Amino acid sequence: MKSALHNLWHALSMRCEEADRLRSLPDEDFPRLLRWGAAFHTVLCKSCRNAKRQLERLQSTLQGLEREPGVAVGLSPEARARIAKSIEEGV
Amino acid sequence: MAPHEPTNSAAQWLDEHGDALYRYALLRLGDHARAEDAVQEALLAALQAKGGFRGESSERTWLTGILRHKVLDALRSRSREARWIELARSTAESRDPRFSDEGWWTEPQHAPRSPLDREEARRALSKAIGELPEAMREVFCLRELDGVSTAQVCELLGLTPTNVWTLVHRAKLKLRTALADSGKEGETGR
Repeated sequence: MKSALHNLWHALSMRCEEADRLRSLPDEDFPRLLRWGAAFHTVLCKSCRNAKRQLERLQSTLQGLEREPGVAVGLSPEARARIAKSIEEGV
Repeated sequence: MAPHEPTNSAAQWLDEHGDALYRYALLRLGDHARAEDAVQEALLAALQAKGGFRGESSERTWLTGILRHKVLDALRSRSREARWIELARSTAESRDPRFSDEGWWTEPQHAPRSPLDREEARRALSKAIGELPEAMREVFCLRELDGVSTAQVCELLGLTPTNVWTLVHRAKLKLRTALADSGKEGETGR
């Protein structure tokens, strides 16, 4: 009973840093009570609500980054020639 | 020709997919020379494994799968270096200046103000990923872009789960701040 109350108190008195880490790692196997604690903290803390919105923007931008990386970086002509040569030799 | 054999030659793969493969490797390895080497090794491996292409995916996806293994090999060999492990652990164990010693935000967090143009957001994100500290970038890409489990990342790189969680969390903090700041700049610039 004492331990359960202690865990509940820990969850309800969570600090921003721990709440933020729990939001960042949604698929990790953290106890459900801690998740609720993080959600409770987020409701009460404006900075954490804003941080949550920043995280949501990050997640949505990450999706599709592979398909359209947003940067026009490519192999240099030298690297392309070197790789083509090694392919020729590898055939 | 076998029914599922890739239709292109290795030279055509280089022409058609070389840049995309290079970007994939560069994002994860953060170094031009290492990324080029990984692409070269992947194309040579693909050449040897041509019969293994089952036609269940596109050639690009198949080649990226081979490249992924080459990138993991490169990361694994790097993690064998004591310097890398030390760097990863010290990055994970250092305090984040965004939080006080007591665990509160040191500065109020602002919401992303204006929705970024999608291309602009991706450009800002790619740049920010490239600017992450080496160990942080590698762990973040494995976990968040490649979907490698924490247990596998620990095994691959010789880190503890706590190290991995901290590095991923810190990376996300830096990246989302960079994205939020991009939006803010875009807004004030109007």
